[in-house]
Amino acid sequence: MSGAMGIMAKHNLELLTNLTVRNLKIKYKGSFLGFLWSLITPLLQMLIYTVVFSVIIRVQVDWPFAVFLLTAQLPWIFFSSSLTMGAGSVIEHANLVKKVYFPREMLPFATVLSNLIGFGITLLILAVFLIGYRIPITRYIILLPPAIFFLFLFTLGLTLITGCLAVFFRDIFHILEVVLLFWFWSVPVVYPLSLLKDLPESYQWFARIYKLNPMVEILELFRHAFLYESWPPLKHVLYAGIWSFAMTIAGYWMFKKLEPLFAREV
Amino acid sequence: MIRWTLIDLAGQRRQKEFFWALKDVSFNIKSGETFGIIGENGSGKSTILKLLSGIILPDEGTVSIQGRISALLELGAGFQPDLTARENIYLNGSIMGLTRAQINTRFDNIVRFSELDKFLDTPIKYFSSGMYMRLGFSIAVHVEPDILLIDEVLAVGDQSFQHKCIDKIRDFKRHGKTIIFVSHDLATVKQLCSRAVWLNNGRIDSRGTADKVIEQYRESIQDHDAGVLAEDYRSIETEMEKRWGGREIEITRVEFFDRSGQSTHQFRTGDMFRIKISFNARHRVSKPVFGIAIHRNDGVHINGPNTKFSGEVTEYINGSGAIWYETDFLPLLPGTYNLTAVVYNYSCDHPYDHHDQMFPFRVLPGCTDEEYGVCFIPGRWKYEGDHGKITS
Repeated sequence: MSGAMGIMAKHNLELLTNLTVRNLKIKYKGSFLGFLWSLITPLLQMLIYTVVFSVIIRVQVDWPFAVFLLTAQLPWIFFSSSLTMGAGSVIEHANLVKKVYFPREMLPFATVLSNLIGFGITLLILAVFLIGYRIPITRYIILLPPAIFFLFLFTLGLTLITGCLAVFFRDIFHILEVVLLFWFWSVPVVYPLSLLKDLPESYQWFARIYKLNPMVEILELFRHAFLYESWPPLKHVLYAGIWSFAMTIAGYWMFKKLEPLFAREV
Repeated sequence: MIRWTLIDLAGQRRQKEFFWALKDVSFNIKSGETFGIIGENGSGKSTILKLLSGIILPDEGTVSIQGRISALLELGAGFQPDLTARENIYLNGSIMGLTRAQINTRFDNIVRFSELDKFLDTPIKYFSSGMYMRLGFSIAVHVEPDILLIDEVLAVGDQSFQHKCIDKIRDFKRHGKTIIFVSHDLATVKQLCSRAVWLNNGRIDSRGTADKVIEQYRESIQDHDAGVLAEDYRSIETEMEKRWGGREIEITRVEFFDRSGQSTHQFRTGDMFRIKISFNARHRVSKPVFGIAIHRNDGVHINGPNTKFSGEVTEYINGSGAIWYETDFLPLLPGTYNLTAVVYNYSCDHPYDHHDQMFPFRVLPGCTDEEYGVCFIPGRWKYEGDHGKITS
């Protein structure tokens, strides 16, 4: 039953659905504002960044800063929270992993899926701001599905890796915290990518390294879909796509490789 | 088969020591067979079940299985306390590999079996541990596997639910399912299993028919056990919370004897049972009342005879002496029991010396196959009306 075919088996799909629904239920059960929290947190974050980067530091962008920010900030929140929660997904179910056999990749998978649903809900905030600022939806919106798809695959792959590494090294949580901090500032969320073009010649090597980061192109896809009114270069899309698929395959492979050891180590 | 190591992704072994949890353990189980695995804690029983259910993989050797497995390694593993019983049935069912449609068809049976219909929409964090177990067992057995793995789970729940579980397992047997049963409860293993293995430190010590293996296992633990009980007895003597009284008379020693006059802590149902209570009175005490009480180790109070009830009160005692309590026929069913030995004044309101449940003894299966309840009442059955005798 293990192997790629196993994921597609009907009862596994239902297990995935049940685990995902369970994640969502547990996240909001018992809290007064319930799922509203998944709107409030990003809104407050947006508020802080907007004040800092458009009032205090005054980063120049061609769009209302809040909208500009949200287009990349929301995917980023999905990415980072999946990674953090996914890292704990296997070890939090130690009891289950030790006592019942089921395909364990369902645990990080369900974490990413429930975050994806949360992400979908937060897109409503973006919709409200787009309407509020009268920014029209253009034909470039068809870039949104591939953008989400690539983001999802890339996140899933990495989450599978953090999920299984956490079984063996609890350090992963600390490492992840630092890595995500670095990563956040090395992608164009609070500043536009165009700033890199203005770098002096002697710093162009930095721009080249910067763009190796696949999250740069994935997040740019979102801005193309909502704001840029231009098509991204095909090679950028391919770069993001190849990374996403490769990450999923690598993550799944690694997870399955280490899975037999989980019950002993967790 | 299984080697425990600490792996290090950098390729270096941080810990070189390992031990084999199981070694040279091979057996075949035929479809439809009920197979028992017995042994001490840590002998590798549970490891076998984990191997069979695919939770861990062997480092060497192979496991091959035909059919769908359901493992009752721990009831309610994966239950979510915040979700309701209904939600947990669906979640747990899908973890065990059922589709939603399959759970739907089994749902009513699961609920009926667990007797939790009134609490379906209660978050299970409000459940008692018994209710929790009932729900867990109920889901696990309704997976309708070809092979059922059971690990010690029957030790939970109240008596009536335990019987229900055993009945359900018998039901499985009748339907030709394969059952692998791991337990300390030898009586149940004997009842259910046709063949068994006895594991000792990860190796098979004995294999064959369940009766034979259990008998060998029993003999080996009896020697060991008698030592442990005697040990308990000694260490308990110093435990003062369980002893009180004015000590005008002191109970200095309590011993158990069998028919042949041998001191022992083990009896069989129906055996002769004798207790000797040695005492020492510092000065003359008139009309002391001696008594005992027997409790099962789960606290059930069995009886409490004393010399006053029996009209055996002496006028006085002085100095050291002993009093015997005997019965030709010990009616207790197998289990561990604790004896209380006391001496009181005649109106029984002042303890001279009270040793509360301080003297353990064990009862092994003896003159009867009965297993329910506390004691064996030597009754008879009689038919009336048209009936026939079984001739075989």
